[in-house]
Amino acid sequence: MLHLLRSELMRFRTLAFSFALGHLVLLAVVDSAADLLAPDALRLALSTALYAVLGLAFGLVQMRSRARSEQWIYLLHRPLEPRGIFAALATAAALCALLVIGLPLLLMILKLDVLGAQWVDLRHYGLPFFAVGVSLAFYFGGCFIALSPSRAAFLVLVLPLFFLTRQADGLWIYAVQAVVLCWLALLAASAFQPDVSLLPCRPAVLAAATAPVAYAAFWALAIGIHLSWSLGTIFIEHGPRGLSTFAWNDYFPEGTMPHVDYLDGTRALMHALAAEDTEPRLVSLRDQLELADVLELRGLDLQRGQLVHAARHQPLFADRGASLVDADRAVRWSFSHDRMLFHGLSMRTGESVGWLGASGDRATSPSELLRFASVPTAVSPRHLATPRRLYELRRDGDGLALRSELPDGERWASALITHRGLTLARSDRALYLFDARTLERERGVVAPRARVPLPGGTDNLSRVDIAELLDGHLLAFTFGRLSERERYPAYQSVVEVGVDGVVTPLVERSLGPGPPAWVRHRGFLVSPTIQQAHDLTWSLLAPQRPGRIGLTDIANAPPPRLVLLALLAAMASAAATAMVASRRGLDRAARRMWTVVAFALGAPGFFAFLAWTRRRETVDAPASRRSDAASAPRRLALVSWSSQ
Amino acid sequence: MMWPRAEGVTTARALVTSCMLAGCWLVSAQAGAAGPSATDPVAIEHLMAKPRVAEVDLSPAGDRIAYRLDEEIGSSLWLVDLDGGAVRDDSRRELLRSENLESVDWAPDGSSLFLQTSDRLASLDLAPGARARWIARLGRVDEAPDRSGVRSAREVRLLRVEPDRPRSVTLRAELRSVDGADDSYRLLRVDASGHVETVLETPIRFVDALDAGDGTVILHRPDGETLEQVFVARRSDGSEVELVRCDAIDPCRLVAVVDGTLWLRGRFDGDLAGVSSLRLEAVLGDRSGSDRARLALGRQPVDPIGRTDLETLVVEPTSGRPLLAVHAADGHRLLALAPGLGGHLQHIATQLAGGAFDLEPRLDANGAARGTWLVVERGARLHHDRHHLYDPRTGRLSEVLAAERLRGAPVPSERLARARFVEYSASDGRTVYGWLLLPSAERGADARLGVEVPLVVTVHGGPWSHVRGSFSPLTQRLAARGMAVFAPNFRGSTGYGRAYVAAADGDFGDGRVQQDVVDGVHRLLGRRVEELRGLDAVRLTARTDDLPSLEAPRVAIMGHSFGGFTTLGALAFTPRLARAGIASAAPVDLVRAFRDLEIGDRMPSGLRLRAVLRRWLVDFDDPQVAARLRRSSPEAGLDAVERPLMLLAGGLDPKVDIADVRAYALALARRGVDVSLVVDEDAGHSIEGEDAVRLYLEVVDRFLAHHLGVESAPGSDSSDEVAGWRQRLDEQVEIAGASLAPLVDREGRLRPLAPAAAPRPASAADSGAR
Repeated sequence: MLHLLRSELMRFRTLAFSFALGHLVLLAVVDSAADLLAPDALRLALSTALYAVLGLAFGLVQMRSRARSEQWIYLLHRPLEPRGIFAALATAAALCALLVIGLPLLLMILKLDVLGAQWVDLRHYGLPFFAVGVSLAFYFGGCFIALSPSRAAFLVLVLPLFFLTRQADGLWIYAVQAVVLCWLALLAASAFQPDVSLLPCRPAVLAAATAPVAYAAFWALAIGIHLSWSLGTIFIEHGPRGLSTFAWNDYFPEGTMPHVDYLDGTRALMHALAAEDTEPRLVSLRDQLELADVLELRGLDLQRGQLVHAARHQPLFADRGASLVDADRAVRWSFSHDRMLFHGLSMRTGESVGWLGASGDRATSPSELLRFASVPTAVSPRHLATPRRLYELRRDGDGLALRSELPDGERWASALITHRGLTLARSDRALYLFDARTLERERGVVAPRARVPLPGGTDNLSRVDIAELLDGHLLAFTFGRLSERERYPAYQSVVEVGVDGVVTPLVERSLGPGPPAWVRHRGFLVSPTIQQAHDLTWSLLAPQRPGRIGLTDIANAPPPRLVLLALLAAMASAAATAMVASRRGLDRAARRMWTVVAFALGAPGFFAFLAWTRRRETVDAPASRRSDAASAPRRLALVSWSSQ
Repeated sequence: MMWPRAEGVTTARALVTSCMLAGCWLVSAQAGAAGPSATDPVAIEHLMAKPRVAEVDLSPAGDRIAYRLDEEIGSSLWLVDLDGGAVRDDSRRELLRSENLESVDWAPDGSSLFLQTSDRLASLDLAPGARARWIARLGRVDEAPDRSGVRSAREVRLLRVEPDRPRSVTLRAELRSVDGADDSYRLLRVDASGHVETVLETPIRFVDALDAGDGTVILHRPDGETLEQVFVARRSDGSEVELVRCDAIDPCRLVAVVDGTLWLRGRFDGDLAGVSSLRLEAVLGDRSGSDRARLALGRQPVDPIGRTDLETLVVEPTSGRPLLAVHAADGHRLLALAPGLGGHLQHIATQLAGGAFDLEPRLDANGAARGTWLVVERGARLHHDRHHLYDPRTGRLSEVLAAERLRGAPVPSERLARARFVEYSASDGRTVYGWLLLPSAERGADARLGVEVPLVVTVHGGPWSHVRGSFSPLTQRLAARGMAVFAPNFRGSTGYGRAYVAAADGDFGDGRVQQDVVDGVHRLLGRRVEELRGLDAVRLTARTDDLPSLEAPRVAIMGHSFGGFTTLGALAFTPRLARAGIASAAPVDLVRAFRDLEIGDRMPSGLRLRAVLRRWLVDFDDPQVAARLRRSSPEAGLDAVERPLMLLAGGLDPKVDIADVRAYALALARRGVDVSLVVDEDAGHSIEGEDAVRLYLEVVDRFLAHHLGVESAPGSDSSDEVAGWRQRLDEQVEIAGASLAPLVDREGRLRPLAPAAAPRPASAADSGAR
C-alpha cells in the first residue's frame, strides 16, 4: 500500500508542486491587494469554487486514467484489497491537497502571524483545513462520478452544498464538513470495485447514493413546476411572443405578495395606499408619489446586522463585515475574536497602529482595554454595531464614539443607510431615522429623529420603502418574506412620520399569496418527506439565518387537499416504481424496498430508483456497448484475483 | 473660477457662497448657527449664525404674512393675519415643519402657497387641515430607458408664479435625447392641485417664456449664430415675430405681460440696464414679419445718477406690473416706477434713518395703496434682516418678528463696520468703483491705512460679477480685528453698464484689470482712517501726498476664483504691493482654464459659455491673444513671487485643475517661498457647507492677522466644534508653509482658539446704530 501511495505521489509530484507554487503566488498577490483573512463574499465564493473544481478535476482525472482497461488490470493486480488500493490513492490525493491547498494557505497565515503586524486569530488557522476539506469532498465526488456506472452519479455533488452553512456557529462548520466528507468517501470507496459496472447493492451504500440523487431530483422537480407554471401562464395569457417580451413580474396579479416584491419603491408605496380609494389623504399621497424621492430597503441592507448578531460567534474565518476603514488615515480596523478587540493596521505601511476597545478607547496594548462582549458588525465603513450600541470611528482616528444605544432587549439588525439627509438603521423591533447631518457633525450620542415600531415580525419583513414628503416621510413596510407557504401573513403597512418624529399609522393592506397553492407548496407536493427534512436540517444547521423556519412551523402541515394530492403523488410514484422494478426483473425484496422508498420520498424516490437500478442482464440479452467494453477486462481482473 | 453661471453647472447657493468668500458683500450668512460661545461678539461663530427668521412673504392682498423660521432641523412655516399694519397674534398658526424647504411664494389669489425645495415644488392650501403636496420635480431627472433602450434626461426649472392666474406656476422643461436629435423644450403650467398643462412645445431652445394670452407666447431665446439674446412672440398658429434683441452679456429678462404690454428688463438701448415696455398689439397685429425698427420700446427712467444697472425689480404680485427698481452697485437705492410710491419711499427712508431697505408695496388696479406693506431692512451693519410692516394709510412703520430675530443671536449693529462706496480714478484716468470697510474700533486721529491700520484687498470672482455693500461675515470679521477691507469693482465688473464690463478688453493677468486693483490700493494707502470715517462715500482722485515711503505696507490681498487669479498676479507682478496673499480656487493660467471649460456649459441666457467668453471677455483661441495672456499669467511670473502665500483648492473643482494648483505650489516651495496648500478633496469650485466656510474663515482670519501684525486672539478653546474644524484642516494641509507655523503647535496640530464665553445677544438698542 505504501508502495502504491509513493508511486501515486511520484506520478503527480510535478503537477502538485506546480499548483502549490501557483497557489502561493496567487495568495501573495491577493494579500498585497486586500486583507487575506477577511475575504468578502465574492472572494470567498470564488476561492471556495476554485478549491472545489481542483478537487473534482483531480478525482475525475485520477480515476478515469486508472479505469482504462489495461491500467485498471495493472492497478488491481496487486496483493491488496480494492479498499486498500483506494485508500492508497485517496491518501495520495489528500496529501496532494494538503500540499497544493493547505500548505500555501498555512504558510501565508504563518507569514502574516509571525512576520506581519496583522493580528491573526486562532480561528484563522482553521482556514487551510476547511479549504482542504472542500477540495477533498469534491475529490471523492469526482471519484464516484468517474467510477459509477450511473449517469446520475454527478448528482451527489449536491452534498457539498451543505458547506454553505458558513453561518453555522463555531465548530459546527467542521462537523457538517466531516459528515459530508465521510458520506462521499463511503460512496467513492464502494464504487471502487473490480467490476465497476456493478451498481451499489449494499443497503448502506445504496441509501447513501439514493439520498443525494433524490434530493437533487426534488429540487429539479420543484423548480420545474414553478418554471412551467410561470411560462405556461405567460403563454396562455400573452401567446408565444409573450415569452420573449413579457415582463416576468407582471403575471402576478395585483394585491399579491410576489407582485409587490417585484415592484419598485414608488409602485410598492402606491400599491399599499391603494387599499382605500376613498380616503382623500391617501389619494393625495398616492398622487404625489410619482414626484417623490423613494428609497427602497431590502436584502442585505435590511438584514445585515441580523445575520451576525443572532450568532454567538462569527464564522471561524469568514469575517462578515467586522472591519472598519479609516480612509483619511488609511487604517483598517479588524476585529480579533481572540482578544474581542479591534486591531488597527496601516494600509500604507502595514504597521500596527493599536487596539480599540468596547469603551471606545484606543491603546497600543490590548491589555489596557475593555473587551467587546460579543462580535460587533460594521454597518458602514465608519460605523459598527454591537447588539445594542452603535459606534462611530472618531474623526481623529483616536477611538470609537458611542452614537446611539437601543433600549434593553432590542438589537441592531440592519446596515446603516444614508440617503438625502436621512440615516436609517433597523433594530429587531423598530426602524430608526437619524438626521444625517447631525450624525455627521455632532460627536456624542445622537437621538434619533423618529422611532418607527415595526408593524410585524422581523423575520417576515421583506422590504421597506420610504418616500420623502415636504413635511416628513411616508414609510411602507412589506411583510411576507415567509408567506409563500402561508406560515406567515403577507401585508403592507403604511405609516407617516412627521419632521417632529410623530408616527401616524395610515393604512394596512393584506396581500394574497400569488401563485396557486400547488405551486407554492410544490416542494411538499413533490416530496413531503424531503421538504420537511430539508427545513429541519437547515433550521438546525443555520438557526440564525434570517427567514429560517422554526420547528413548530415545520410541524404545521399544508392544507388537507394538498396533503391528499401529495399522498396521491407518492402512491403514483410507488406504483410506477413497482411496475418498472418488475419489468427490470428485480427480486422481490428489492422491489419492495424501492416501492417503499418511492412512496416515502415521492417522485424523487422514483428517480433515485431509476438511477440506481438497471434491467437485469441475461446471457441472451445483448450487452450494451458501454458495459461490454468496460466489463470484459474487469471480469479478467476478477479471475486473476480469485486465482491468488 | 467664478465664471458667469452656466446652466445646470452651478447652483445659486454655490455662487452666493463663492461671492461671499471672494469678498462680495452680498451675503446674508449662509452658514448655520454655531453654538455661540466666544467672548468676542464678532467672533466667527457669531457672524456665521443663521438668521432665525429665514423668510417673510407678504400675501398679494397685503393682509397676511407667511414666514419661515429656522429650526434645529429644517424650518417651520407660519401664517399670521395682518390688521392695520400690525399682526393679529391670535391668528398665528404653524402650517408645517420641513427639513428641506428653501423658499415660499404666494399664489396670486392668496389661497395657497408654493413651496420650493432644492429639487421639488409643492403647494399648500391654506384651508385648515390641508397638507402640502408635491406638484413638480425640479432640476435634472433621468428617465428610465424606453423600449428601444434610449435613455433621456429631463431638466425642469421653475420660471415664475403666474400673476394673472389664481394659483399656477410656469415651468420650463428640457427633454434631451442621447444624440440630441430629438431635444425639445416645453413651457408647462402646473396648478396648486398638481394638474399639468403643456402650454408650448418646441424644438428650438428657449430659456424663459411668458404666456401672453390668446395662444401667444413670448419667448426668450439664445441666438447662437449672432451670440445675442432674442425675444420673440409666437402666435397660436406657430408664426413668430421677433420683438427685440440684446447682447449676450446684457442682463435681459422677461418680466410680465400686463394689459397687452410686455415688460422687459435689461439693456435694450443705452449703456445701463433698466426696465422697458412694448405694446404687443402693435406687433402681433402685423403679420408682415420682423421689422424691429418699428417696435418702439417704452423706456422707464434708468438710474437717475446714471451710474449703475438695475439690480432687482419689484412687481405687483397679481398683475406683474413693475413697481420698484433696485440699484445696488453703489448703495441700496430704490426707484419708484409707479406713481405715488416715491412719497412712501421717502417716508420709510426717513423713519429708518436712511438705512438700506427693500419694499413690497401693494397697489390696487387703480394704483391706490391697499393692505399692509412689507419693509425689509438690510445692509452691511445688519447681521440679520429686520422686517417691518408699513401701513400706507397712516405711514406707520413697526417692526415685526423682532423677538424671533433676536433669538437668532445677531451681532449687534454697533459692532459691525459700515460699507462705504469708493470711487477712484485709475492710472489711465478712468473712474473705477469699489467698497471700503474701516475697522470698527477707533484707531486714533493719525492712524493711516497700510501703516497703522492694516489693509486687506478682497478681489471678487467672475470677473463678471460685482461687490455690493451688504453684510459679509468675512469682511466684518476682518474689520472687527482692526483691519480695513477694500473690495474693488475693477473694470470688467458688472453693475455699472455695458461699457464698464467691456472696458476690461481682455487685459487680464499683468494688465489693465489688475492695475485697477493696484491703483485702488495706491489711492488708499496712507489715508487717515478717521478722515475717511467721516465720509458717506469716498472719492479718491489722486494718491495721497503724505504717503510715507512704504517698503512693505501692511497690505494683504486675497480672492476666490478670478479673485484668486488676481491675487497670484499681484504677488507675482507687484511684489511690493502686499505682504501676503490668499488665493482660493485660483487658476494659474487663464487660457488653460478657459480651454478646460465644458463644451456644453451655457450662460443663463442659453448661449454657450465658451463662445460668449471668446466674444466678450477674451479670444483665448487666438494664438497671439493666448500668448499674451500666458505671458501675463501668474504661472509666467512664478519666479517673482516672494511673499507668503496660502493656496486653497477643491479636489473636485471642474474649473480649476487641482494638478495645476499643486504644481504651482510645489514650484514655489522648491524656490523656498513660504507657501501653504490646503486641499479639500471633496470640494468643488465653491467653498460650500457650513464646515468648509467655517474652516476658511478661521484660516483667513489667523493668516492675515499674523502677516499684518494684528494681535492674535489669546487663550484656548477645546470645544468639539473647534476641534472639528481644526481636525479637518489638519487633514487638508498638503504643504505647510512657515506661515502656518503660528497656527500649528509642536505636534503639527493647529493651535487652539480664543477662550469661549456666551455672547451678548443683540437687543432692541442695536436698532438705532446703522
